[in-house]
Amino acid sequence: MSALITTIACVLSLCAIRTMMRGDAKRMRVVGGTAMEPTRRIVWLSRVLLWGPGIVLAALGDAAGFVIWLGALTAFGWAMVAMPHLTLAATLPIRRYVDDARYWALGRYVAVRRIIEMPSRIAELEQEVADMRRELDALRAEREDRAA
Amino acid sequence: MIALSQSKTKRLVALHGWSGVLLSILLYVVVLSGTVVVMAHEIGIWSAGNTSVAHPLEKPVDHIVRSAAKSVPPKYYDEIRIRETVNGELSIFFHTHVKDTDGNFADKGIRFIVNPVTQEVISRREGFVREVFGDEPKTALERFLLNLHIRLHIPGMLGLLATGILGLWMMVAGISGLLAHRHVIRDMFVPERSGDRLAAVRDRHALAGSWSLIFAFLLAFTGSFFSFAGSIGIPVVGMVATGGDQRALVERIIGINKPDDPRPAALASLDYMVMDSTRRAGTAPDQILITHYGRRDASVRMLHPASEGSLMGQTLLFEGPSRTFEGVKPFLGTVPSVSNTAVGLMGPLHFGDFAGMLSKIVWVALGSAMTFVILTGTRLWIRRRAEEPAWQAYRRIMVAVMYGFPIAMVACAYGFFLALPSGETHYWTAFAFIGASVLCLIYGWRERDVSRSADRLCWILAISLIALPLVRLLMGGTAWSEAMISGRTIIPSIDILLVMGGLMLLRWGRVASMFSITKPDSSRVLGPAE
Repeated sequence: MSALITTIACVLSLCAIRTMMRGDAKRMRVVGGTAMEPTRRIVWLSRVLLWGPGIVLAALGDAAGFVIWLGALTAFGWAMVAMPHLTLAATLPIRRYVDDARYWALGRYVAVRRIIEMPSRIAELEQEVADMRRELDALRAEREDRAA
Repeated sequence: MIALSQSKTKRLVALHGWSGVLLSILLYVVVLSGTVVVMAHEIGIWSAGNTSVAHPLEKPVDHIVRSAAKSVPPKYYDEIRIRETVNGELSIFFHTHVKDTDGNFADKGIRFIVNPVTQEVISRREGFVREVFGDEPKTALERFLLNLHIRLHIPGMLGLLATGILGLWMMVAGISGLLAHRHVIRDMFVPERSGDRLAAVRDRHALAGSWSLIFAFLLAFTGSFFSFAGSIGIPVVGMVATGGDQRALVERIIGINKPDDPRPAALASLDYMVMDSTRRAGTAPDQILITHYGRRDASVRMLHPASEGSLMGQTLLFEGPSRTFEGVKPFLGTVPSVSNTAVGLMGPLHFGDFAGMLSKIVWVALGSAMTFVILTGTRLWIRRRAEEPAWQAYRRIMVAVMYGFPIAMVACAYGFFLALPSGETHYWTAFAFIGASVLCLIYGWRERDVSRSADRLCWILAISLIALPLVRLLMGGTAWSEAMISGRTIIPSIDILLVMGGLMLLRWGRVASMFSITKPDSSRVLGPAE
């Protein structure tokens, strides 16, 4: 339970860092984007989300949770700030790998299914061919009868 | 942040740069090995293939200890230390304190290793502590990595002093960096500028340094404390406080022993005391210490890890014959105090082992951030002196160390697994580490093209990481199915992490080019963070 509360606290504060990052004009100049102009409400909400979880953990007397929260904030906060291009475009190679892996697995799955189903499929096809032959024989017999 | 004159800033920058770069290689080794040994316990389980999940001290131990005691001479009843081995077995060490061949006091006694389930004695060895504990083949990898971080394998007190000084050195670099960087808060969200400019290198270092400053300071301080406290700090302070009276020093720091009462008395049920202690502390003990076994003045100390939500573990004291709870034993001194709390906090804050895997993951991330700060700082320093031949040579060495050290750590795991059947794991683990280090250094020195050497070393590291789980399995390591059935998910988890780490290096390993320079930078103007 304590681990869950701490994890939620970390996630909330990291979300706040992300919002504050996007509103930082100097950062946006460096990464070549346009700074989001946060409203007063968003600024306050970010501040509350940034510090609030830590204060709550401290108030609950969860010393371990508080230290983990502070550590996670500095380590993962830095990672987020240091990777300005961690967008969907940057994760494209990962997604490409995932897609490739998925198609590879799907291909193998389909191939294996086909191999497993092959005897019954062959039997079905043979049955169809036999039916068609029967029909053909019946048609020939009918034509020969008519001709006779 | 703090307004300083230009000359003061220059002096601080010089202090920051030189303090970092002079010992950058050693700092890198200590910090990266520290990052790895946050998971030392897990590495021990993974390398030993321990599939026992239940802690042996959660099972009845009273009968095992009494049976073992019957075959032990009473001279070793002075102290009994009971704990779990890396294989999940029970280690019971009956010992006394005597002078060894060098004239130093050491523990000597008989150590039993017992299967906690079947209660079968697996081994019984007599000798000094280093003989009975030192050469357990399955602990070689964990012990090697721990010793590397704690004392850089320098024997005696010198190793502790070396790592302690490195910790202090790191604090100097951190404080001077903080003072020299005038816009710590304002630049908190500013990433590195694009391109391969000197400013971009500086941005990267300043950003990582700013974010990890609090914990860099904390980890360096607590690390130095551990190096100095036991070897110099506490004894010196204690000797001064007690006017050189050694008995008073021991009484003040460790606590006053009860008056000697050698009359025989049976020890009360250990299982009852474990149960009582677990109820009071909230966690099962991970170590039990019994003093004066079989005597009326016997006492039992239960050492508990931190319970949920708290940072510190605690030691509960019981009277041996009557199993009466006597109270919580402070780490330092005999009564609770601020200094005792401060000392108690040092361990969890340095090791990050107070909240299971969650705190360990965060501590690994913090260690990685600090490693990054050291590498980027060294890069910045070298980059500014790229034209000077001496620094070009240093750059080659730095690349060799940057990849060579992780390669050597992986190599020592290979040495361990390959030597496991022969039992000579301690020798081969060390041999593989030294061999890989020397080879990487020679290659890094001889290869003039830094980019090429970085690429090749990165590739070697990646492949060796990917192949390590395979070698572990081939050498008879615990299979994934067995580990999963017994609930030891850490074994496949580490295998997966190694493979993922290797794949990531293959894909993004061009961080390698950290120390390569694509175009000479003629800028010699000092920036605020340089």
